[in-house]
Amino acid sequence: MCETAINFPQAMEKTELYDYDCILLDLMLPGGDGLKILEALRENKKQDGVVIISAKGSLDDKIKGLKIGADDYLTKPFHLPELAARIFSVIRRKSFDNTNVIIHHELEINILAKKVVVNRLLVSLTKKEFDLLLYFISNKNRVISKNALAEHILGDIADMLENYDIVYAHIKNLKKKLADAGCGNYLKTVYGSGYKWDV
Amino acid sequence: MGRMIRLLDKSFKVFMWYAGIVLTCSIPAYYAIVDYIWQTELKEHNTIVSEEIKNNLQSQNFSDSVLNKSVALWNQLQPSSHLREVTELKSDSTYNIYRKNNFSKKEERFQGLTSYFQLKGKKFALSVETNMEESHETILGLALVSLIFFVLLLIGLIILNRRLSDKIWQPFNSSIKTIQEFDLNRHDLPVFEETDIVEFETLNTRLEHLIKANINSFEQQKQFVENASHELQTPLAVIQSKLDLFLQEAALSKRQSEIIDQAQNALGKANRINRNMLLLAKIENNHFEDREWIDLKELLQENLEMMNSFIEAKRLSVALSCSGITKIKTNSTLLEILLSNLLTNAIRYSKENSKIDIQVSGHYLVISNPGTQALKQEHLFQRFGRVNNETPATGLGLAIIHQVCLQFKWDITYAFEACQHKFSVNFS
Repeated sequence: MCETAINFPQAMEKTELYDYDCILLDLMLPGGDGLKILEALRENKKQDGVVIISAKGSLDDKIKGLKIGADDYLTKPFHLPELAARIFSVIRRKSFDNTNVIIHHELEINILAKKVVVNRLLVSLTKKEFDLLLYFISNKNRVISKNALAEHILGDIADMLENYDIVYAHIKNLKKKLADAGCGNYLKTVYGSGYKWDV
Repeated sequence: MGRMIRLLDKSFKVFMWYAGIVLTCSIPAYYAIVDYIWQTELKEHNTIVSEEIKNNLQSQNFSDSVLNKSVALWNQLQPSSHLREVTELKSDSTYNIYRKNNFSKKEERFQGLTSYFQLKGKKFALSVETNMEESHETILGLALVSLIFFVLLLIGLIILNRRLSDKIWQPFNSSIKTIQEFDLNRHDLPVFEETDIVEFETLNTRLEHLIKANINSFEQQKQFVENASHELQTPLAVIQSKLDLFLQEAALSKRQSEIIDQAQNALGKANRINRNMLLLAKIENNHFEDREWIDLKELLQENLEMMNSFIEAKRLSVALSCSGITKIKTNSTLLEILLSNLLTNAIRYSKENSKIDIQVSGHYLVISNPGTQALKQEHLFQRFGRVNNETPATGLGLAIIHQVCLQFKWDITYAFEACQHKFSVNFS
């Protein structure tokens, strides 16, 4: 279930009344500072996951938000798959009691150990490949654009990309390693504009 | 623009020309006066002498033979006067002649008077001559004196000129210095030295007004850029999300998803430009005030690690050499931005299989990478100076580097040597 609060008092009321798996918190709410909601949540010892979304991108703002108790901080503008991946990560941490293993058909991903097992066979992935796999799993059945992928795995230095060859290379390797281990082909190319983890 | 001269030198030149002309003109004038006075005096002198001679002669009672003898003797002994018998009496006349002197063999100038008188029924003409200064000697003397005075005038004026330019123009020079030191990027209003000269005071007040207005509009501009980029972020985010959502539509045709892809690319560039503009504005507005000790070497290594996939993709080799104490106290965010921008540029503009050289010696960093042609210095650090549509470059990378260097008064230079682009930063 997903609920929306359109201003500060509404947000306060809802967070006091209910427990949520994950709250997307915009810092600039009509009627008040979003950080106040976060402070109130943590004072009441509530364990709701919180992802802050803000136009303020400076390091200070991020540190301040994370210190008060946000689980993640996303600066506008961002790609939706990126947001999905962050939410997925927050919810997983809150609800699986830190078991940290995602099982998906023959695929088993241990997030803490950063290990991937297919049919009980260990697949050795690089850090970037592991990162990509997790990103795809978090965005099951959604088309992810090349832009979003590049920004996810490269961060700010995606600026310097002249083409997406590097991203393609990582995806190709990941696909090949999974296929070699006997994993089904879930990762589909969508018309050359993006990728989709299809299940 | 021709040769530059100082203001006082200009007036000095004119003055000297004028003095020269006046002194030259004075030479004939002096000569005329001196010669006139002299001639008049000598004429008077000759008259007195000749009157005395005449009186003396007339008062003597010479016999004819004695008179003749005396006249002959007179003419022999007295060089400056001459007596001779004439047939008729004329009125007195004066003359001025040049002739050779018997002894000095030199042309001498004489002022003479010839007067006529009767003595014992005989008619005599008496010429009295006095040596007078030759006119060319007078002129030479006067010219010499004029020259001496001209030189004195020259020396005096040069000395005065120097003193004056130092003293009188001191407030002006001080104002110029203040303006030269003024930097729009720093927020301090220049303070002009007080002066009791009306013109300079007016100049200073006007300059102060002008600079104040300048600072204000610069502040407003900086604030505007920051606010504008900030406000743009939310709509850009909305477009981004909508495009991502649109991509999820099941019935998208190939053509449609290509259009979305192109829109995403353009949007990505808009996002980057906006982010960089915001960053520039934030640096300008002093948002990065924290200082801490950072090791250049470590930071460079971290950055290279992050860019490893790009370095590998282009098969570049990177040589990092460090010497000396490489720690500096500065803002970590800005230093990281500076280094990553410099490295990014070096990687982006290097051909495959080439070598990037990074040298840190103490607080001096040089990053060089091979290139074919020198970059144009004039637009190098300007915003959007070299932006083109084919690369994802925002045209703000070097402007950001430049702004960071300005902020900390670091010295950044670019050189193209031996087919190498060299960016050097002096952090001290």
